[in-house]
Amino acid sequence: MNPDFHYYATYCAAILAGYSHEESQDIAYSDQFVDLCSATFLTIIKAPLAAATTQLQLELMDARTDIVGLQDITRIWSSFHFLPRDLSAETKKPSSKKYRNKYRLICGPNGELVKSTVELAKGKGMQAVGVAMHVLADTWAHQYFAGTPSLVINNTNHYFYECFPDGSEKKIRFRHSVSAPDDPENSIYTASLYVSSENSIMNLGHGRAGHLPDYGFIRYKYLPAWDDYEEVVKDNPSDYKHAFCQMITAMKYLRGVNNSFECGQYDFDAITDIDEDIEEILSKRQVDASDDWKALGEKLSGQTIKPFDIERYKGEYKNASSEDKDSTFLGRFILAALAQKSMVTNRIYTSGNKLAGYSVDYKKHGFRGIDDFRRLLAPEKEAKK
Amino acid sequence: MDAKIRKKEINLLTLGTGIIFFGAWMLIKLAISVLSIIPDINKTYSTAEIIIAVLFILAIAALIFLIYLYVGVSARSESKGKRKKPVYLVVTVILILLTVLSAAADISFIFNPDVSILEVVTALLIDGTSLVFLIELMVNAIAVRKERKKEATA
Repeated sequence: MNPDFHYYATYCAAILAGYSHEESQDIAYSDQFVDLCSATFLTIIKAPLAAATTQLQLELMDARTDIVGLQDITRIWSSFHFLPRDLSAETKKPSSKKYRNKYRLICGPNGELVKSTVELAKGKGMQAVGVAMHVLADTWAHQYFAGTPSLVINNTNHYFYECFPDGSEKKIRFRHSVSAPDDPENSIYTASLYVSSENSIMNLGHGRAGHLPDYGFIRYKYLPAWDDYEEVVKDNPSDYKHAFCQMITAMKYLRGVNNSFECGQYDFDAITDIDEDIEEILSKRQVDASDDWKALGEKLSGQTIKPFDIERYKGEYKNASSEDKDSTFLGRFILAALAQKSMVTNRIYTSGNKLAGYSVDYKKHGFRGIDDFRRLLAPEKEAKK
Repeated sequence: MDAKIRKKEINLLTLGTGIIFFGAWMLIKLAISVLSIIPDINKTYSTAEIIIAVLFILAIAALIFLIYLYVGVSARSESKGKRKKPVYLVVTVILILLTVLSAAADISFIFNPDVSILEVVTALLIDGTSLVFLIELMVNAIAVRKERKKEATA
């Protein structure tokens, strides 16, 4: 999803879940920050690189695609942007373990991992809530794609049609010019180049479908590589609305209003008064709906929403002493990101799938592995003291 | 639309494209073969005779390419839902027969000591692949037509 949803729509959902304006701002900031917290940014502020929640295009161009590099890529993208729906899914036809492992990383909403993601954020602060909401929302937008470079899972072909409310269809034309903006009026969009190499970066996530999954207004049908020529219809307006209402449900749980969070629950009642506004935003053909979501958010809270600024909390983190870094805004975000990455990697690994690399259960075996994750044990040590 | 018919249509599109490339390969192969023997025959025949012969062979090669192009483009059109007359399927059958004959000729060269075994194997592989493409194209084209007829009557 784009900043319009990750920042402004999340703010709206947080307000509707009962958070204050300041809390909603923090949640929305953290949500959007998941798309920007790269190794490059973390290097600048001298923060643990293992907390990276995304990879910039330039970082991906330089990324290794050997087994170690692929595991690193998969860890980031599967943990934050393409949360697997079912780690024990069976393929329709007999297939190799190698293929099955990739198939099981296909993203989708309402999987067990979504519940775990939301529960992990309980009692951990607004930053953790924001991270969880980003992951939850992306399970709706990015469904049917996997957070690992794979041609056989993520590829698409020329069969790509936009579906209009009146029942008509128009063939979508993809071009590969990164600088040319998408042209919804003529159904011309930018997508990654076809590369026949299985593990090429071009085949990561929804690159082969361009930004279409991230546009709230669009409905389209296409043939995903993994579905054996079966057609998939993606109704983004409906999916985004479900994502929005599920975020409200999740945040009510995180606030303590609800006792539990279960998948498949959507707080449609909370949006009764603004349903028409949301429908209008989601049906407007625009690549960036920030202004509309911002206006709705300010209408709900009666306050002005600060525009997103990646520099906002940099100084606080850089100037803090080493003991105090974890209690800064970015410090808390980093802890939440490490926890999310650790949880998802562990679940993928324990399902018998090594695509995200190895994982150690700290409670059973003590600390091993990447030193950055050691700080996740600090709260437990404090509690024992 | 059924996944089955979609699969066959996409196969047909790929095969049609492949056939066009095979036709281009035939043209290039013939052109290179002809040009490579010119220095040898230059001693025996006059320049005018060589030019006429070369032009004649290149014209045949171009004709063969056009036939492959016709089959390939027709298959691609059919895959995209355009109604095509079955003439191109008849031409495909003729191409299959010619490819079989070509492969048989390649096999006979195995016993020719003047021809390198590597050349024979390469030629056989190309002809074999071309044969598979043509047969697959036939099978998929007929399957697509049958499925479409079924859908139309359903």
